[in-house]
Amino acid sequence: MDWDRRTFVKFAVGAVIGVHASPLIPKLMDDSTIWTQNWSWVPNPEGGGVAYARTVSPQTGTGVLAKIVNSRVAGERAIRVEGDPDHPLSQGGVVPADASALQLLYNEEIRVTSPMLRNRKTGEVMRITWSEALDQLAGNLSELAKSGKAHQSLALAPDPSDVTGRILSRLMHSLGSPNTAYTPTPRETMALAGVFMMGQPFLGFDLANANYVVSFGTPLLEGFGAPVAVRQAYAKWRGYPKNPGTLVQIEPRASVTAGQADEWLPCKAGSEGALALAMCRIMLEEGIYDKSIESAYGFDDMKGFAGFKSMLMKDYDRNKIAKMAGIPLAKLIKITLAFAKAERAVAVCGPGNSGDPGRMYDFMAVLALNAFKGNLGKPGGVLTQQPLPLKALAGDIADPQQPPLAGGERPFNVNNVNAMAKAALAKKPYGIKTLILCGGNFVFNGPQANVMHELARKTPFVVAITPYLDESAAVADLVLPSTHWLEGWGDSTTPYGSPVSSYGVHRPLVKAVPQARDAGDILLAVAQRLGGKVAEALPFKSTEEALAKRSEDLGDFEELAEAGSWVQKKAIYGPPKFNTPSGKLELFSMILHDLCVKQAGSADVLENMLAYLGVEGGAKTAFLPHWQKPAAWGDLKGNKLLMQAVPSLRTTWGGDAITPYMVKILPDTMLAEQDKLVVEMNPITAKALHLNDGDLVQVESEEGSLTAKLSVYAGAAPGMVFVPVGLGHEAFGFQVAGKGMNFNNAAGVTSDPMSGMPIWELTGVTVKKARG
Amino acid sequence: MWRKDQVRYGMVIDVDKCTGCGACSVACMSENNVGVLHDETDKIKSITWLRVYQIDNGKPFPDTEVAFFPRPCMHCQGGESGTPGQGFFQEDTDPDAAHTPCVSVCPATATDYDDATGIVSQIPTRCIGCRYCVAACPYHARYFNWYDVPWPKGTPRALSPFVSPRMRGVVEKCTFCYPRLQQAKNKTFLDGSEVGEMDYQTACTEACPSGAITFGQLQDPGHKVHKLIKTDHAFRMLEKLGTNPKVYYTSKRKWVRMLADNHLSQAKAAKAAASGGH
Amino acid sequence: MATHQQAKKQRSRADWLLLILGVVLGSAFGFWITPTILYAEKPQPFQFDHKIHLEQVDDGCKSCHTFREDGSFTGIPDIESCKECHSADEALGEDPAEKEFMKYLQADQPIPWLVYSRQPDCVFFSHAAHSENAGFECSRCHGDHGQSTSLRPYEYNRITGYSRDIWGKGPIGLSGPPHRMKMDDCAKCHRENGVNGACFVCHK
Repeated sequence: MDWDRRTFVKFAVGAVIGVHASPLIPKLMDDSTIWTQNWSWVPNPEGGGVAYARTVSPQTGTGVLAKIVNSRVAGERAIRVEGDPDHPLSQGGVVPADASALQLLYNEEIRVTSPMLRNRKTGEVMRITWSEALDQLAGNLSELAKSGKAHQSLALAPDPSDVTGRILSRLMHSLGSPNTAYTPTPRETMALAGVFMMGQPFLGFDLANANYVVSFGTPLLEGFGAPVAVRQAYAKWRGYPKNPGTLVQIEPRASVTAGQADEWLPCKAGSEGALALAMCRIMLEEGIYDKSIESAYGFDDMKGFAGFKSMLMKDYDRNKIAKMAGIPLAKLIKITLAFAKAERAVAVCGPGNSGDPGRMYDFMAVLALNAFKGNLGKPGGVLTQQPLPLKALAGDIADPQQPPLAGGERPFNVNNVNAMAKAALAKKPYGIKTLILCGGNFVFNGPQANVMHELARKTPFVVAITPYLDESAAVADLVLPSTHWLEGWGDSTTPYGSPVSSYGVHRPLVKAVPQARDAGDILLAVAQRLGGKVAEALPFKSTEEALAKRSEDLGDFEELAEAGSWVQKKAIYGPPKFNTPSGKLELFSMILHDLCVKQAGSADVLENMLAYLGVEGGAKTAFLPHWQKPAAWGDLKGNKLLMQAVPSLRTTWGGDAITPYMVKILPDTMLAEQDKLVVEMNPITAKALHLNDGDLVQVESEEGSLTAKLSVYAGAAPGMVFVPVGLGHEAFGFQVAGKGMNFNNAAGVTSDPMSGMPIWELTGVTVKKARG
Repeated sequence: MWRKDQVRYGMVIDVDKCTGCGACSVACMSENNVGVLHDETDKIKSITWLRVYQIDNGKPFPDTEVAFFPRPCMHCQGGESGTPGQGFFQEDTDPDAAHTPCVSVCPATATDYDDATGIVSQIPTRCIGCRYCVAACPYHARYFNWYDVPWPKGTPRALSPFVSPRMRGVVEKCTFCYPRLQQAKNKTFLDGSEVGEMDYQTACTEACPSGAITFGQLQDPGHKVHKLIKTDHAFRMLEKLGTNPKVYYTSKRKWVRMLADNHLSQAKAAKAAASGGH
Repeated sequence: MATHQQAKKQRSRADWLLLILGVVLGSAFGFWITPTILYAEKPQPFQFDHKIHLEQVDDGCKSCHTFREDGSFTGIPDIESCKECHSADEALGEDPAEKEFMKYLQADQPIPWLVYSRQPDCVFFSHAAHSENAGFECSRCHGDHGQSTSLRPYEYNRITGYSRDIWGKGPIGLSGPPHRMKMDDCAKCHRENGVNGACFVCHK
């Protein structure tokens, strides 16, 4: 037998047939297919037992359940944040930010994983130990204190009422610095209006029981107070076959709330307060008001001062106001009559669409309207909350000797973070050496983010205490990792507008960053290092201990932490207690009057002081609920437009950043293709400016500019431009960074007349076609 | 054909209560391990099982009105549908007439219609990525994974073990949170109970802060959805296509109902009334 | 001429024999190489005697492989379950496995057991449905694993990464449980017993 080509071929063919007769080929093919279905880089989450833990999101003050999986190998991890059916402000509902909180918690690419020190000159970042980091901060502060410059430090935090805010304020105060400021909120504005008119700082709206709601520019459905609770109230107004409740929205844009309202009154932006007063006047003229208002202090004229009634009759003619606000008179009358007739009607105010704290006199005007309706203390009306039974952390601390950077000259002190930043930049009365950014991401959230950015750039030593590598961390010299709210101890107090008070405690449930410490713990450790007065002012080892002390009167602390929250059991119905000098409702606020006179020194200087505070109309109306023309109306010259923010629960208003899932659900009317910001304009306005839908435009204010795609929207008021707020992060990883631009960089901030709260709802801007 | 021992899960969304906050959409993504790509403004490639659409009545200022349409998978049954009085939904007595647009075109049997629950499945590991079903779905409820999901470091820790993460090259869609039914059934096997209305609720239903979404068994008189689908304001999207979907909407606003293309059912209602009803 | 013819005939017969030889050798090669190149082995962290444990407990397999209250199955017990009987302070015997076990126990660390019957991630399997509702014995799918005195090496497919117990122990892979637990096997049993065979019954 020869071994030639033919025999070889035969053998080879046989071998091939033989291999095919074996399972080799089909098995290889089968396995390759299976391989394509199970690529090794696709995650394989490990299963395990499921448990739910109660906690409260400090972002919304709303109870949530963390769904935690306990796996045999991977251990405990949270896989969902759901609503808490047993929490009165949640009832199972949740907002997008809370539902996607885990995306920020677990993303190690955006979390600060260890203390870091940045070299300003080289930009180099060095990881340091906790002890080194605390030495750095304590060393800096003690040096300031020793050289008598303690006041040249400024600390910013998101919330004055939470435990971290309390600790920070005590730390700064005992160190000798009067400069602690917080994110301005409508809670403060409401407290001012409430105290001045009723002697009650804690007021809320009983939305769930109201059947006729008039909202003065309040973005009820875009996030307001406790957003879930507001939605549940809204759902109660909707029914089958007829709606049991009526919602009237007064605002310049066909927003979500306006679109879902039964009646939308598109008013000129900023005229809301005047409309509330015009409604009072109509009720007065028609005789359809609650007669008990006649006995209110300041309803009739008093010695030397005109009363509320005279002022209404003089300044708030229905025709004049309707014309000024651009609303058909018939509609205004119809709404007023329906409001007056409704069984349980309420008027709602604040916050501004841009998340600003709202104008104080507008709040007073709306309170007056509610008083005219006679709904104070009634179901579906304005209620007083039970004050939270929280204890002070420790005894009072003597006030620092130096005056604060800003606000010291006002009759009452409010927290104006923007004025402080501007004063520090101008070095008037003095500059600052150290800036502590304790959460809140002020360099992004502002108000007026670019002022904060400049301040951070010009301050010699900047500390950021933050869970994230955010915009504030990016400009800080020392970055300290604090815990996410699912990781550490903290608390939150009653959200704005809630009819009942509530207190939330969040505790460590999972651990995502082992090095992170509670912001409170960091401050307490610094206080320990500083020693002396400072350590005495903060006699706690941990935030947990401080929380336990704070909530002593709420029962067992462990039980409270486990339950996550304390909520006022029953809403307070019945005639409210007026803690005013007259013991009555005060339309003419004696408290405000006395404060102003005291500050002015004499009645003669009063007018000058009021003029200095920007109160138009002077002492004649300054102590009555009245309407002040918004400052932004003043600079509408040439082809300037009014810029207002478009709030949305899909973007958040501050606090934590927008999450990746929220970016995913942004409609293309907010974020267009290739991550471009979208601004809205009425077709008529666009035509007048020779702009078309889809054009790339430049929105410019005195403070900054935004490049955006123009969306021509029939529901936008003419003469205005509407900008989504909460976009345009430079930090937070590829899923969030570089999406749109930051509204807060273009918003102009002014001080509210009288209250001095920062206001940035309206800004004069020019809009033109962008080059390129 | 529907038998008494089978159930039909369906959903009713009250458009008048929906405030467009997107909580349902986010809860859905978190529940079902949906990923986030670099550019999510590219809506062809962006995956949102439950997308919230915004519509307006097209009128100029100041008469503009807006409404929101959350759109999950409709879990179409196909075949002859009922009349408005019956809540539209009825199982066609002819099994061959049943026609779920996506199921009928899938060459790989990666999606099927479950006779026991009425839920349309999607098995990503079986999918060959031809996207025929994406084209067939009249509601744009199906999404194709053009890329592998870039999970940032640490984020896979938040993934749910009850839903398998997908790879690139496959189609995915809303499953009515089927894994929740699997978990609920697990419990019933152990203690011999039945899956009650509240034992199986979808993530979006639970999350909705205004309670606009209701979920349950369409054919069970004890369930809330059964009553809701019979109200005058109930309608379905693109009724005229005959997809016989199991997601219902309700709205008191006529323009909303008209935009959802409910014309056919009204014509049907008239016809039914003329012929003395079914 | 004739010899030439004869030689050709002879050669052709030999050729065909070679073809058959090729078939036999090729097929033998295929059968031999398939498991060798496809499967790799990994040892378990340490040895474990199911039989001894089974003798000590009252409730059979369910003593350690328990159901949670929500009806889900715990699978392999965690280290906490081991601690119900074993103590980190009390030394066990001299066996290397026992020594190794003490390390995990003392460190309170999970033991990285390799699971023979781990299904792919896309599979939802309800133990409650099968063992509680349908009344299956564990051995019906898991074989006599509970009676084993030692752990065999864990074999896994080099391409797919899955356990060989799932993808078939036999060379052709045509067997059913307990030697194979592929989708076909699930579907077959479901079909035979009239159980719902829709995709979502077993997939997630």
